[in-house]
Amino acid sequence: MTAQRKLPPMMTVADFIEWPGDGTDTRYELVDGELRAMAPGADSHNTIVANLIGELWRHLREAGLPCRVVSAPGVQPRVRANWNFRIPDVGVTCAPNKAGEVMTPEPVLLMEVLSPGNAQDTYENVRANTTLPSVREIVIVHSTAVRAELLVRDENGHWPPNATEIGAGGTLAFPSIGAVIPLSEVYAGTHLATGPA
Amino acid sequence: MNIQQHVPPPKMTVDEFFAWDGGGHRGKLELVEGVVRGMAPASSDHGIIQLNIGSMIRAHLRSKNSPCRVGTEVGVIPPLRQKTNARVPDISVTCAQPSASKVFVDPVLIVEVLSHSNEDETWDSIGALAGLASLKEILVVQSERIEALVFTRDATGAWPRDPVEVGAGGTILLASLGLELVMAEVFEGTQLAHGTREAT
Repeated sequence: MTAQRKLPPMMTVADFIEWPGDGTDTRYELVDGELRAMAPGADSHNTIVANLIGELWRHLREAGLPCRVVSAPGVQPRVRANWNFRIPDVGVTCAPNKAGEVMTPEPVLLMEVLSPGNAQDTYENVRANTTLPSVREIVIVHSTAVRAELLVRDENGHWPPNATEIGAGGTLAFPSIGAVIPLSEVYAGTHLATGPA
Repeated sequence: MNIQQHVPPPKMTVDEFFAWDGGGHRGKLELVEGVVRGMAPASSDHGIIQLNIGSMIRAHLRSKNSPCRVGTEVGVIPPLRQKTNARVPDISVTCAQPSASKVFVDPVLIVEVLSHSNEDETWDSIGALAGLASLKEILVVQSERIEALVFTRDATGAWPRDPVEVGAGGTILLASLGLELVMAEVFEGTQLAHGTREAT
């Protein structure tokens, strides 16, 4: 058994980016200067993430948009940006990729796939990520039921007080990139899939 | 009274939370995703700073005949999943019409006094409330050193990446209220101001 390195105390984002990790493959987020380990995703979680990326990638290609899908994008929410580096499951940005850049610049869409163990951290991340001025939509996709919670910023730049609930048979609409993704495609190949995917 | 009444139910709604007897807890309580989160009781310096700031805001609002109201430890509901979440800033200001609500609707300013014991929970609450469209400003005051952090939304409604830091001898500018707070008055009466605070 490999001895784990002792976790450092408070870190800034600059420290975090330079940090070599704890000696294992555990992925961390930086939350208010403290490290937060991210549990490995379950099989259904990871299938949903792959489906979302595939649907988004195909849409961006077909629509000819100069945007890209990013898995596990690094984002720095406002209010103490220097102490926070959060990692949603999927992001879309229309800003170009630059050599050596760690953060995903100006994300317009962020997606979180919820697992039973990380619900509180995920909702906390979603609230924090609403402070990113570039973000237009955030969706939380559940991995234990066919259910999604969609947040769309209004024309005044305000977020709604509560998410729109979307259930089986529904679609996810993302005005920022003009994408409409049926939940049946999101859950395709999982035990939650209903009928032919 | 039955001791079992003091055990919080595993999950609560905001309505149940505000009707609950607090389970005998002495510190501040918040509701996070339906789960009650307790904090350690505040220190004397924390309480003094909280009252100092609240008093100065109250005096300012009165002098301006402002319709806004300031309260200590009033509930505020963060965006997203509002039925099962309530946070309780140390001080908050709302300019909404008075109503029968048990919480402040549309707060414009929240103030949190930070202690070592509540630091993680407090930053979590600040992050949760920052998404409120009505909120213009967040003031965070340390209770274990003379320092304040001010986050003010810009003209586009965006929060700054990092706060304005104010140290001993400085002045806090609260743009949301058009109010300046002198640090010496914010910390007046505390052990920190008298240099009598025991080393921790």
